[in-house]
Amino acid sequence: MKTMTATATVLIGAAGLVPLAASAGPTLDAIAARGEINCGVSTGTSIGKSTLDDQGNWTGFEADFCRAVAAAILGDGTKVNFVPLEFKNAFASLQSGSVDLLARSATWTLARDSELAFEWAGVYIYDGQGFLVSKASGIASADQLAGAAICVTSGTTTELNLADYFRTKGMDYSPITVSAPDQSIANLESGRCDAYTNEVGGLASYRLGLSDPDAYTILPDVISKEPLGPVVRQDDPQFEDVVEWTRNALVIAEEFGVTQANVAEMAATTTQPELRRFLGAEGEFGAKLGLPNDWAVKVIQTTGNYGELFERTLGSQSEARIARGVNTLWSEGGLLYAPPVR
Amino acid sequence: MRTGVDHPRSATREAVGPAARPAAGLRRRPRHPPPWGAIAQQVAAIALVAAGLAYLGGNVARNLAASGMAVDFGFLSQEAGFAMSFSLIPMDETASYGRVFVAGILNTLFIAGLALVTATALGLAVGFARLSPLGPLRQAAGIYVETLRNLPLLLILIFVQSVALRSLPVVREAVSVGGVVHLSNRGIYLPWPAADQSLMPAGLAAALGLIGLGIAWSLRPRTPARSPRDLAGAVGGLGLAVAALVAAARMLDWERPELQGFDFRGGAKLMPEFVALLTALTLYNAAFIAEIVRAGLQSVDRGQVEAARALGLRDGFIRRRIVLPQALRLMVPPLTNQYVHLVKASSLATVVGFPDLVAVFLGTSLNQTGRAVEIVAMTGAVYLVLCLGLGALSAAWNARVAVRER
Repeated sequence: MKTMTATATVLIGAAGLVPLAASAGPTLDAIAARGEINCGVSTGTSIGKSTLDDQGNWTGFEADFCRAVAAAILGDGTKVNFVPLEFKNAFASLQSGSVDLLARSATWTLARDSELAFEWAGVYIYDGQGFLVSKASGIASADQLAGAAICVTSGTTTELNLADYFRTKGMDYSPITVSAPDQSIANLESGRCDAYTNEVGGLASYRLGLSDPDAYTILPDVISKEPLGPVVRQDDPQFEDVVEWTRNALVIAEEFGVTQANVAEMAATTTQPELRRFLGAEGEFGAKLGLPNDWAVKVIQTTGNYGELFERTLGSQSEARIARGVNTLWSEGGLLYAPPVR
Repeated sequence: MRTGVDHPRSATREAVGPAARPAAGLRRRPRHPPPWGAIAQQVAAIALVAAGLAYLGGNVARNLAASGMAVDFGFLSQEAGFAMSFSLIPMDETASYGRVFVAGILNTLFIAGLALVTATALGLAVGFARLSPLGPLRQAAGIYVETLRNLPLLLILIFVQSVALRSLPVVREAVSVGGVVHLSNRGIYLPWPAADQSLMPAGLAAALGLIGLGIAWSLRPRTPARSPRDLAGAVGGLGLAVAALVAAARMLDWERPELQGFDFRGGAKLMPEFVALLTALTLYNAAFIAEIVRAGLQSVDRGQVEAARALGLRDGFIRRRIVLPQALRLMVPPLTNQYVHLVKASSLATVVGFPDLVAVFLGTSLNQTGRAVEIVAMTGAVYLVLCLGLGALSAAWNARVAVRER
């Protein structure tokens, strides 16, 4: 009798410890309750996108984007919990709910959008895939890479694009597949592979990890489209709207010349109707998103507009020094376009 | 006709026959009531466990359905779209995920099987060396075992790959041994028989060579006393075997690796990732196997060795035919442990970039398709089957060589 009671107690107790099914409540509620947003970023070596500086602060385009979303929802850009994720764990972490938002240079593809049950909340960087080679190898174009050993990260779209490209051209190659870009850079430097393939923005930032970055060059051929954007789950359409409009806010601010320095003044004094609606001076457009009306002001105060954000983290004021390329406003010939605030 | 033995009737009735009643004075075996308490306990425990499993299983199914990802193995027929750098079956980008799964299993079996053989061989040698009468040999073996047993396998693997293999020169400046074998950090290049030639003549010569080896082995001197006829037969067989194998090698058209463009073409290429993984698995597991071997050898009664020596048998013979067979009984269960560990440890191929099952299926395919539950279940099932198979083989061998108490 004693054994039976003990066994029963243990088994019932163990069953009780099993966590209940993940609540299907909106992600926004969870963020509000928690008081901060769980943002999945890279493991800290993606210079310009998400890195740790020597004071332990996260810097970079993606880290700042997380801060922008936190500023929109919670009014404070510091309320972010950065979760460093390796690529192979990134999607699983988002699926399981460990992170609310994945700001990790994930390419938007049809398969990922449909099969993985994710939503891309817009595109924040339009990128393409290229090759990084050493200048000493004398390779000037991707057509000369027949028979080469090419370093690539496993499980990414770059691996598949590489296979497609070489199959189309009828060239053969050896893929050196590893799980992290740092290993690829080490392989490239030691001569294990002849070229490293990744998005051009990524190549520019990972090149800085080489001991002599100027001895390496990015080939001019861009072999694919890589639209990078923030990723959320499909279970909370309202949260997806918020993230999408945070991205749009950055672009709209640049369209209207709103900067980190002048946003507060503009919010108070502007007479432009769309700008007044955007900055919350009139209308209830923030409330339509479930946010306070001054959400856009908070976003721009935290990170600045898209141009400032890009130049500070990836562009002319940063180490990576990537040209904006197509990441400029549509009115200047680029691809950045945002719907109107109306 | 009955036998001549005369049984008193009373004795027959009482002592013989199935219906004999027990002799007076003995009680009947007391009948215990069925253990209702224990039965109820077992039923309740089983019901609770089943309920727990049903709850967990239902939870998984409900959540998967809610997030739109019901369990579906249809992805196995989709085109994978990526290439594998090493594969035993023909593979290209148009292969399906199912074919990737099979190629991954074969790669895992290949590296694990090869590492098993080399680790056992090295472990046996080091184990014997630890019991050698030669002092320096014993100490060297001791240092090897103590060092490699106490370092993590991952560390040894990264060391072999980053330090040892990276130190080889780049492919344009490859070190060449005899002009036919080339070493570089992109691989080790060996000559290999050219693809489009008939292997029949060479195959026949090799078979002849193996037959010669078989003859030499069966005629080998097996007793301390050497018979001149046996010795002559053994040496003759060996000579024939060597000549036949050399002739077989000569008959083949060997393809030598030549540097063309980015890499050596022709011949066979050993990937540094493969060499690093094989080396690390061999070195690490050989240290453990050496200790298992040593324990087995030392467990054999000293009296056996002393008696054999008193009979004038040679040391090598004693070790092979008297000590080792008795030691094997003790060694088989821990050896099985070590082999199972080796098979699972081969999944560290993801660290070095060798495309085994975990790297190519649990890594790349899972990220491309998002089918976490199906892929993890399939990979787990493969490892489970492999290790259970090893355990079953070991149990069968154990049963054969078990000590039978008389």
